[in-house]
Amino acid sequence: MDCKAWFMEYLDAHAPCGMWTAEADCAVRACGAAYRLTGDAAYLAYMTGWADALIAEEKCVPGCWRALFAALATGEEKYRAAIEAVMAGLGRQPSESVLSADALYDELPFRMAYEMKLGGMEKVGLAAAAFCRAHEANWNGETGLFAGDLRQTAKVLLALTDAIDVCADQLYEHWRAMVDLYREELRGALRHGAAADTETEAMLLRALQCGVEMGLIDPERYLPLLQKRAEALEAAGCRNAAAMLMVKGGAL
Amino acid sequence: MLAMKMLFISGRSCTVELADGGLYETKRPYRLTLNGEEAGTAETVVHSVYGLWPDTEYTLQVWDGGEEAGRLTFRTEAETFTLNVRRFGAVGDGVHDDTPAIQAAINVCPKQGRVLIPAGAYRVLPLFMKSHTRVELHKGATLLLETDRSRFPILPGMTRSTDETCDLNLGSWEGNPLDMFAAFISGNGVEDVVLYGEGVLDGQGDQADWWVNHRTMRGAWRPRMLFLNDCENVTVQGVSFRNSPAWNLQPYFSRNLKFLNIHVTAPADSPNTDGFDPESCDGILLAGAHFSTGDDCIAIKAGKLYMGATYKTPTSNMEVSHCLMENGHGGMTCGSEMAGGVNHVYLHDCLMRNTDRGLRIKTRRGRGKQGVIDEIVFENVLMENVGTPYVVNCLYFCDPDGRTEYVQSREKQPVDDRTPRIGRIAFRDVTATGVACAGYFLGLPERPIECVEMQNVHITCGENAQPMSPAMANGVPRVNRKGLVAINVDRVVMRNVTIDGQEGDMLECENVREVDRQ
Repeated sequence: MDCKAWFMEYLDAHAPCGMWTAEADCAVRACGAAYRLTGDAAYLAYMTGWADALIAEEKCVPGCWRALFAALATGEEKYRAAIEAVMAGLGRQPSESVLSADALYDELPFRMAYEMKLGGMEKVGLAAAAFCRAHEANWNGETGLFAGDLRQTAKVLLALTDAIDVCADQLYEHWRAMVDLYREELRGALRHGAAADTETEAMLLRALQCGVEMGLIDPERYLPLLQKRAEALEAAGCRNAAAMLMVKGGAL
Repeated sequence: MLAMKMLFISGRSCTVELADGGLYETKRPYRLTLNGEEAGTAETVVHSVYGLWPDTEYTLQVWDGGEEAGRLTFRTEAETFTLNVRRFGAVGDGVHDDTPAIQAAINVCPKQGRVLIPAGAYRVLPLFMKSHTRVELHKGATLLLETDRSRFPILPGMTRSTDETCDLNLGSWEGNPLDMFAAFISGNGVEDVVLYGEGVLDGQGDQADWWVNHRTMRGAWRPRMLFLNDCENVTVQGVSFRNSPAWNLQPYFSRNLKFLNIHVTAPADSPNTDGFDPESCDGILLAGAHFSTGDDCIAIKAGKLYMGATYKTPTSNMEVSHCLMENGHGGMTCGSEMAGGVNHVYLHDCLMRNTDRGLRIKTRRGRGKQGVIDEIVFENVLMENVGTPYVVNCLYFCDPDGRTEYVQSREKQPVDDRTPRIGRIAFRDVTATGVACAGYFLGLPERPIECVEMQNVHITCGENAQPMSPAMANGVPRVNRKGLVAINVDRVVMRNVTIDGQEGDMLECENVREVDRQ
């Protein structure tokens, strides 16, 4: 089965519902990348479907930002209202207690997307500063890990790539601060080789792939590594991880 | 006798200053002779002579009527070879792409050689200079910049080093290291270069789509006419720059530069067509230049926060003399990208006409502690129909976050790594007419402007001046017939200052620690 057919079959089998899960996050993330690569409306529809389902169940959370902001592009007011409601729940200023990888992952990409699309870019610096604060508190230069754990590090890397991706590089000092964190944490993570569990490995490779796609790291150096580890991961056969990995450049 | 000073000598040209008390133009025309032969008429204080022969001694005599007013003896620079671009295949018909021919001539030019671009219209893509060369744009020569952006090379803002320890910065846009289309003429790490002559560089901004949706980055940011990155000992003499896609001349992290008798013009409604934007440079002489642009005539820069804090390179030691600034937003601006600092700028003997503002200093919270503007001196300047002759604005509402509470707050904020500083600004022997607001100095409450000095300053409000907002910051009203306003200033010194025609007080103060007025 070719990659796209496999992808579509996966999406058909995992229809949007009113409960945001880690697997949904992976699928929507993959759709976002695939939509950007191909412009195929089916991917956008899947993301919008998630936004509709979550709004209907009043279960929107910051983590589903990608679905909400993809749907926002349709111009329908309900998506804007849902995003505003999520932001109202968070409070406009990131709390100083946002230090864990989960908190960064769940909250900061949403904040960055909000600032860029709806917030007039006013508090982009605060979102970037929250990453710096968490890095300072939890990253260890000796181990190269965030909170002493490769999975947490992978999550932070994904959160960083998400935030970097939506932040305009015209806000260079903020954009660059996040890029520097990404590079440092990536170097640390790569010192540990492949992750034992396939989901962590998938997250790491997706973060690596994003870095290459956005020009943050040297493709000549990192693409061969990415390809090698992606092949190993595919051989391991994790379906959830595959949902992320199938959007590798040129796969669709 | 006339005070004469030689500013520059090449193998084929020279530039001399004829200080007869005129600002841009001399008070009267002077006849010139070279070794006894007629050499034209000088009508500007800074005057260039072309058509000289290399390695030759000349005596330049200046005649006021039948009387000799001055003389200078000098020797032209030696020259090794002249490479005529026609010999390299350039056609000069305005249609043929002459880029390869001209670029080849530049690339193979030997040390101290000259690339000659004779009269004709040459359609080109961006060209790159090489060290130790002289490029002459002969009178009647026009280089026409390609209008199809898809054919332009892109210079990346930052490229990571192979060992991942540092960056190579090639592109820039408004103070950040961002991808840009290569400039019409680029110098990257070159030294000992002269671009001279009476020819024209036409950026064809009016023929291309550069000025359409200009705030949107399409492919890369818009090209400049001249971009000198990490260059040293470069002189640009006599050349005319027209219709730039964006800023005109941008020396960038470069040193020891001269810009003499250049002419920079762009339509009044062309977007961001600043005339001259040195950024993080040291040692600049800008003399005898004429600007008429759609934005600031001169805008001195030093990057936004990342570049300022990382490279800590101010723009320093800049002299501007005998220039004419017309029709732009500002005669001379510092900022708002000034995070590396701007200091020791001396502008003298200049004429500003029909610009919105004369001296305009723009900064804001967030530019950083390297962002120090100090020792900016204006001397012997005439401003005609200039809306506000002096503006210092520390609450400038630029950038996406420029209108936030942090930037615009009139309350004291903590002084920290993001707080810029304004030191001493001085104005001597300045006359301004037709103004709407004599001056507006708006400092930060937590870090006031340190000192504003005015000596022999005479300002006349205009009968027909249009109301204007003197500083672009929240809460600054449109005014007319307004005197000086000083807010959050440590010290204001006024010696022999007059303002005529204003309504209300000559000086309004708010949070000014000391006014020393005589």
